[in-house]
Amino acid sequence: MSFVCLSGLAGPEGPLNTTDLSVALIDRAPKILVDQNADGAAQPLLWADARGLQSRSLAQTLIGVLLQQGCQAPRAGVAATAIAARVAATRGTEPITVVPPGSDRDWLAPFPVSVLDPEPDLANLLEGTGIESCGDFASLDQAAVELRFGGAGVRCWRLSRGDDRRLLFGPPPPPLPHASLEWTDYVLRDPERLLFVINRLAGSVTASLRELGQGARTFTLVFSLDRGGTVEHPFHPSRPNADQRTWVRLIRDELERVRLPDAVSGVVLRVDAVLPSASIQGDLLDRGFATAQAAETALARALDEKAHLLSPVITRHPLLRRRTVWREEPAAVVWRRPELHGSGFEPRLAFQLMPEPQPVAVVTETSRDFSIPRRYQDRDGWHEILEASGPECVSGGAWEESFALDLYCCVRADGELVQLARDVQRDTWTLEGSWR
Amino acid sequence: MPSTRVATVQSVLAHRFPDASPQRGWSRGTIATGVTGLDAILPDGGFQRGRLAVWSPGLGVAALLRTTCLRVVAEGERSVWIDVAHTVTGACWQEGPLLIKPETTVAGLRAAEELARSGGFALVALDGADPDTTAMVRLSRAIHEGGSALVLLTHTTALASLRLVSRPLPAEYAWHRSPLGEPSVVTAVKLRVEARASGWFASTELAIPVWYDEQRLAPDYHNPDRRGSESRQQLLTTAKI
Repeated sequence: MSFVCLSGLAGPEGPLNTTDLSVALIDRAPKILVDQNADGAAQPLLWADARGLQSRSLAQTLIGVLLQQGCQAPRAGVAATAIAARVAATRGTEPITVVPPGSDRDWLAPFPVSVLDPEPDLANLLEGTGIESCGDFASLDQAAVELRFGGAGVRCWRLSRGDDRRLLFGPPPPPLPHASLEWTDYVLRDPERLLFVINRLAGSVTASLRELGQGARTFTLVFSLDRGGTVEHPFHPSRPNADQRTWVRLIRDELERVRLPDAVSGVVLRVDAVLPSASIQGDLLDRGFATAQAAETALARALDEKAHLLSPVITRHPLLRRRTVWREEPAAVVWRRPELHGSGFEPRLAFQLMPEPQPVAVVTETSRDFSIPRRYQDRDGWHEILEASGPECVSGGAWEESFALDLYCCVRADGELVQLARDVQRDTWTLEGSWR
Repeated sequence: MPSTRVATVQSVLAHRFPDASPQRGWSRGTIATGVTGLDAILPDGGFQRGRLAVWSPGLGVAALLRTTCLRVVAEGERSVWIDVAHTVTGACWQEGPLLIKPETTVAGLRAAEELARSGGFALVALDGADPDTTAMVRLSRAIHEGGSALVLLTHTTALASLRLVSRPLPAEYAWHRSPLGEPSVVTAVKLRVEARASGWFASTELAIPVWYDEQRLAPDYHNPDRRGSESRQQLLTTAKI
């Protein structure tokens, strides 16, 4: 059984919105199709893809959902062909009408030819020649039908024979690659031996993916434990790929970290989500184009190793430490060709923050009601300050914790430029960073 | 000796002695920094491809290396900056080179090794990691394979074919004078940069302008002046009392 057709999509106050109904149904069926212009049907129809599923139970489930959504008398037709499913849904008397597999033509035979929705001209011709039922029409041979009724007649004749060639749903997606190995005579505890097995599985799965022209977005490694139960480890590569080396490296890193609760008696490696392997149009005049693929691959490996490729988004936060929001970029960014002009190539000393503000002890002198730093002590010892400019008074924090800082740009005796900050609220000093 | 044998011998020597620098020829090209004074003191006028350079962290180092990264990108190649210490701020970063922030030092070293070996990056700069000798060997071999120029901002100098040190000269800084004639803000710093390689020593003095981030002065509409107000903790303590 391939198709479930649903009709009777009306509530007490009239037809219901089919889009809302399809949204409610999509959780229960792999694919839902809305047929707004169902030929000859008084109301729109909904179609569900039942390939590979228990059609009757799926129809029951969908009918239940439609009742919850407010449909008064929903009906379902289940058949191997779309025409039989539609006639079953629109002309059936039971809530669920199932057409036995292989009997679509016989089941359609008693119905009038109007259920096939012929064109008005064709309907007149059929009426004029005395063809009333689908069975009468189906008993004719194709040559006679084509001669008398033309191409439209042949299409209608095929439907009367249960030969519906419409593709309501696309081809079913191929199953995602997976590989597994189980052993019963022994168990494995050694990660290296496990990795040996996993390497073979990864080779098989990645080869299948490459044949499909796809790369795994996520894949999962499942360990079957000796005393029962399984442990799953999902992996999310930085880009869709089918590279065995990358997979094994990710898995090896994970195996170094995890501790399995029991010995392993089987391993399953399955792909959970895939994306097509993209090929990017390049620029022949780009000097980096020839090496872009290698660069992207290397970058993806680097990103898989707990690294992040970032680009800054500058906000207007008064604190420099919170002003930058870092946006993560994909490895495919290497294909971009940024256009740089000559103005920004002169070196300039820029301020760089320390990872965390470093508390320091500061000797100050008062000048114009401000405490100007003259010496400070950090982990490396005392530093004399030649000149301290400032302060830049920064404060804010209307909705989070308030802050008020006096920032001093200081030139040390050894020539280093550093920024010291005085927290006005707590009267503490920190070393914020330096110009490098 | 046939040329193929010469090439074989060269590759074996390069593998066994990654920090050795040949006297002439046998170079895969250089990457100019774009700073004329600096290029003049570097062997072959820039960072050699396939070679490891070490620059002791200090004033002006990151500025000069950022400029080199930008020039590499402007010339159609790629450069990457690996910021292990997470010190780069968005305000000072200019679009062009790739910026990688690894979570750990080991991740940073691995990233540098991968990217240098790929051959897809002309210049790899690693800032904030002090690799041990083993890591330096791995990095040296990676850049030999990939042909990238790798510059480490570190004090570890083992296996480096080029060693750079920069020292500030505070007596020669340029100051922006206040109306009263007192020095107030440094507008440019002066550095003495020394380059050492096998059989090579040169130095130069460079002036680099200082760029200051815009500090927003309170109060403004969204950020009212909090000077003098109690901290949140103090407020909570007061509320409990």
